[in-house]
This record gives sequence, structure tokens and C-alpha cells, in this order.
Amino acid sequence: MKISEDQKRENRKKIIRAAVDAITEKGMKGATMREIAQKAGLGDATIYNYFPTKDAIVYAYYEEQLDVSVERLKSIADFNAFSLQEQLQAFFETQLERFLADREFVDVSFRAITFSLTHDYQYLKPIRSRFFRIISDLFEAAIEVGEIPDQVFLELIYHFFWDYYVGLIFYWLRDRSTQFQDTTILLDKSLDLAVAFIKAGVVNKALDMASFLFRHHIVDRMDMIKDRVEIVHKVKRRFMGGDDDGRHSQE
Amino acid sequence: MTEDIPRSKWQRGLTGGKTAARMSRKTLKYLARKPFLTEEKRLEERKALNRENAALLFQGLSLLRGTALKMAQLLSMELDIFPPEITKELQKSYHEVPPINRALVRKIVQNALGKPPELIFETFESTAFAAASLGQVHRATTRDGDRLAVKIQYPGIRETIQNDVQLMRSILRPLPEYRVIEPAIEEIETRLLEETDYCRESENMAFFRAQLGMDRVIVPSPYGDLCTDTVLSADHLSGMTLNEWLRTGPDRKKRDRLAQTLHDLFIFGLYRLHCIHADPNPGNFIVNGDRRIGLVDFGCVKRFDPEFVALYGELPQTALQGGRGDYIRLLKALNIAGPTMAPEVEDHMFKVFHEIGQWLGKLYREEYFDFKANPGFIAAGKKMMAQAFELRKHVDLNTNFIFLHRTRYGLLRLFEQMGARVCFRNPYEY
Repeated sequence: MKISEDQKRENRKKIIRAAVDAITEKGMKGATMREIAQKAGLGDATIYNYFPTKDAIVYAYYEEQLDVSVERLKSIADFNAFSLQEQLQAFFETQLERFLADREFVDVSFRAITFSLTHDYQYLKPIRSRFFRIISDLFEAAIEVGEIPDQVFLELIYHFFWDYYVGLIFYWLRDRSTQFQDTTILLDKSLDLAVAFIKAGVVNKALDMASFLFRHHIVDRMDMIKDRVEIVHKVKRRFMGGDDDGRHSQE
Repeated sequence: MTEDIPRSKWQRGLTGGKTAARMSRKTLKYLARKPFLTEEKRLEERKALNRENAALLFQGLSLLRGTALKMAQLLSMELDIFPPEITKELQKSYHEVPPINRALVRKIVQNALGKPPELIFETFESTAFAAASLGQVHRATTRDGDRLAVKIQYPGIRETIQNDVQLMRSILRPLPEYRVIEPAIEEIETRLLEETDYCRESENMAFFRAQLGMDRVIVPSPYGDLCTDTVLSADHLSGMTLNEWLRTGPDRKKRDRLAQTLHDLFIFGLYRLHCIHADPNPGNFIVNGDRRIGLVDFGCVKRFDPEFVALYGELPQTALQGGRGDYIRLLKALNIAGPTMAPEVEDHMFKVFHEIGQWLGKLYREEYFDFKANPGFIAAGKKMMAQAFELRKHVDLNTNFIFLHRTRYGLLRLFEQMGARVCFRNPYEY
């Protein structure tokens, strides 16, 4: 039976919603594909046309939330007038707001998905690449207008923000303050600091420093090392040659 | 872009210490150069030093944002302990604390009202147009087109206040004057907690709006369903703050009229409502078309019981015409003086209060008091006020009285700044 693309998208959404509910109730292990299919109003077999495993549904949830957040940010009228820090902050806050209704589900599933480094990595990849796309879009726009200096290792910064994102969500899951305001404050302060670092070009400077040190100390001493190299060779030859001197003779 | 505001007690402690260290370094530099300077230059240098210190102080304080800044402001108003350069910087700081960034503003509104600003208001300016010392104010319009001023506060500010005050106590405890300072700190803490309770503030605002009924004074109306303990929405008042207005160089008549309105407001509030707007900061008065004055910031409102107010009203008359016996009796009734005092304490007390009475009495001697013609008036009072506060070492002064006097003194300073001519006589006092 052929169904329309719209219908497919609709079913996908239904399955994700059903999985969130089922996992919230019964935990990651307790909820079954059959149950999820029933909750979504689909046949026991049909569900496999959409997702091969329960885990795949969970990953799809996080992908979807990133997409929804992007739409939300687009709806902020003056979002492009925001500073980089404000944009990042709004993005993370929007993500947390998305997760709020499904907090218990996030609590049981987030650890499983972000710390699985084995076979599930292929599922994590689309989430990460979506995330990087969002972050890189913000950074590139900021570099274009000269808000932050050109960064040498942008990739590195994106990875830093991925780790930050994971850490932030764990902090939020453990946050017991009213309206999770401790998380809000943490976000405000830490992004302040991070963006200040980026603005000051700390990564660039660290790199300059490293290359300076390298040239100064390593390259300048190359000649000296060259001399040593011969000594090393000599030592090696003697040692390999099995000549009896040094420790060898003592044995 | 906000600067990093240190929130943990330790961090804030360190920031305070850093500022102190930097200031004393500057002072040392000045002292080292002092012998080589001529008198004139020395004065100039001293001023520059004060300015520099003020700037440093401001940097440090604005990092601490709320409490420390507010404490310094309160102390500077009350005791005049800072040189004018520092006071000026502190006044400026009312409007120049590091702002809450736009992303956080959205979050605060979302937390308080349940939805982001664009879903609640027709328009909402994400950049603040005014800063309160413990929050900031945004322009917005409702779906019906009403213009609003929406005040928001940094998340968790109340917890921060409590931590800061605790920190302040532990720093000040070793001081010999601690006994005098302690009640002041206590008061400041209560006041700061009141000022950050926006529910209370909107109630106060509604009270004044309903009760005041003065043509020349505008009180904004709060929008109840858009108010919570951390967000306060009220009518936006158009006009300039008193400071801005004074800078436009309004003529004498206008200044007199405005000062008179402020004084009448105080008298009406005290004697009719038994409740005053107790924060005479020029930023809290919005001048609307030279004739009317808008009142904003109802965070600091003080209520008094009617007997206290009635007795207080007798003070000017008694100070000017009554004998020592009447005066002491009144002071005792007002709970300013204790029921039994050693004769020498009573003597000293009478002396201090008699002087204050004579000083304040000048305001009532003639129909109008002209601050331009009496340039030394506030300066003369400063010393006496300090003496009165010194009494706290010996007796527990009535805190209502202190509060009232501080507000009054603040108003007088404002009038002097305006160079106004004011009629202080009124049916309740003299």
C-alpha cells in the first residue's frame, strides 16, 4: 500500500511521541516496539518501516527537537541582531524548553544516547551534524560581520560546544532550583566567559604561542639534536652489536 | 553584552577585595607624589584620584551588581561619606549597571509569564531603556495598544542579596562601629528584599494610584495579569527623568513649581495616607511637560502608624517655639529618646536634636525658603545628621524616624540641586 509523504511524516511524528510516552512510563528497557506501535495507532510490523530499533526512535526524537528549536529561533523577530552570545544562549534555552515537557524521558534516555560510543555511533552522528550545522551557522555569521576574529580551529570550538551542550543538559537534569534558574544562571555566566575567550582569540593566540615556542625552542635546537642523534646511533649500534661494556658486562 | 557577574560568595568577596586593593594602590601613588606638588596641583591631583577611585569603585561594584552597589548608594546618601566625585559616579551607576542580555530577558519573561515576550506583548523591545539598580526596564505594548514599561530582575537575585548581606556582615563585624552599622545593614537587607518583591511593588503602586489623587502627580497603573514576583508591567510614563530635565536648563519658575510638587507629595503621603514613596532618587521622578511629575519605582514605600505621624507633625512647632521640657517629652513619645536616660545623655541628645530642630526650622521661618539664597544649608545639615546617626551608639533610635528623615533629607538635597524656592509651611506641621 502506498502512502503519501505527508502521511509518512505524520506517522513518524506519532511514533516518536508514542515512544516518549512509553519510555517515560516504563523506562528504556520496559517499553517495547509493539507497545509503541499500538500507542501510535500503527500495525506491529508497520513501525519497522520507519525505525529499525527502539533506540533509533530515541535518536530521532533528539534530531527533531533540534529542528524545532531552529524554527523557534527563526521566529524571534530580531534574532539576527542578537550578539553571538545571545544567540547561543537563546538556542540552548530553547532546547531546554523543548525538553521540559519530556524531562523524565530525557532523564532516562540522554545518558544512553550521548555516551554510547559503540554500534550506536551511527545514530548519534546525524544529531551531532545537525548540532554542528546550527553552531557553525551562528559562528560564521559572527565572523562575517567581524563580531569575533577569524578562528583557526573552528571545528574544535564546535566540538567544545557539543560537550558543553551535553554537560549543560546533565546539569539541568540534576538542577533542583525553582524554574531551573540555576541552569539559566550557569548558562548566562559560562557563555559570557566562553564568548569572551573566543573574542579575545584565545585559541588563535594559544596556537601562535605554540608555534612560537616550537620555532624558538625546538627548531633552534635542531642542530644540537642533530649532534645527539649521532650519539644515539652510536649507542644503539654498540648496544645492538652486543659489545660487552656497561650493564651487559655486569650480568 | 553582560560582564561576568560573580555570584558565589567567595567570588564576590574577592571582587570586593580586589577593588579595595586597587583603590589603595592608587591612593599610595598619590601620597608618594604629594610632597612634590604645589597646593593647586595637589587639589587637582586629589580630584583626579577621587575620579579614578570612583571609576574603579564603580567597576568593582557594577560587577557585584545588586547589593553592594545599592548599599554604597544608600550609605552615600545617608552619611555623605564619599567625596562628590564618587557620589556622582554612584548616581550614574544607577543607570549603568551591566545589562541583562536579550536571550536572558526572553528567558526571564518566559519563566515569569509562561510564554516568550512575542507571544504576550504586541511589541517588546529586547533592549532595556532604563536600568534599575536591581533590574532593568523594557518598553512594550499590549495587544490593545497600551504602552507599557516592563521591569525584570536577574534570576536568583534574592538569594544573592541574602548571601551578600551575610558576606557584608562578616567583613564588617570586626569593626568597632559594628553596633552602629548592624541595624543599618539589617534595614538595607529588608529594604533590598522588599525592592525585589515585585508583587509588593505592584500593590504599592495600585495603592498610590487609588489614593493619591493629586493632579500634578501621575502614578502608573500596574497590569495585574502581567505582574509576578519577578516581572512588573505598568503604564509607561513619557517624559524625562528629573536629572535629564534639569540638564535642559528649565527656568526658575518651572523648577520651583516642580520642587513644590515633590514636597506637597511628601506631605500629602505622610499625613493623609501615612505612607510615603521613600526613594527620592532623581531617576524615580519623570517630568512630564514641565507641569506634572510621574512617579516610578514603588519598591521603597514606607508605611507609618497614625499616632507616630501625628506626633511627628508636632516637631517643627515644638522645635521652634517650645521649651526644652516639651521637646524632650515629644522625643520620648516618638520613641526617639528612651523613657529613662542619664542626665548627661539627655543633655547631649537635646543638644543634638535642638540643633537639628533649629536647622530644619529655618525652612519654616518664612513663607518660602530659597535654596539658591542659602547655599550652605545642606552642608550645615550634613554635620548634624551625622551627629544624630552617631547617637545610635548610645540609644536605639526609632527606625521609622530614621527612615522618614532620610527621605526628607534626600528631598532637601534634591531641592538644593534644583536651586528651587519652596514653601515648606503646611497645615500639618507649621
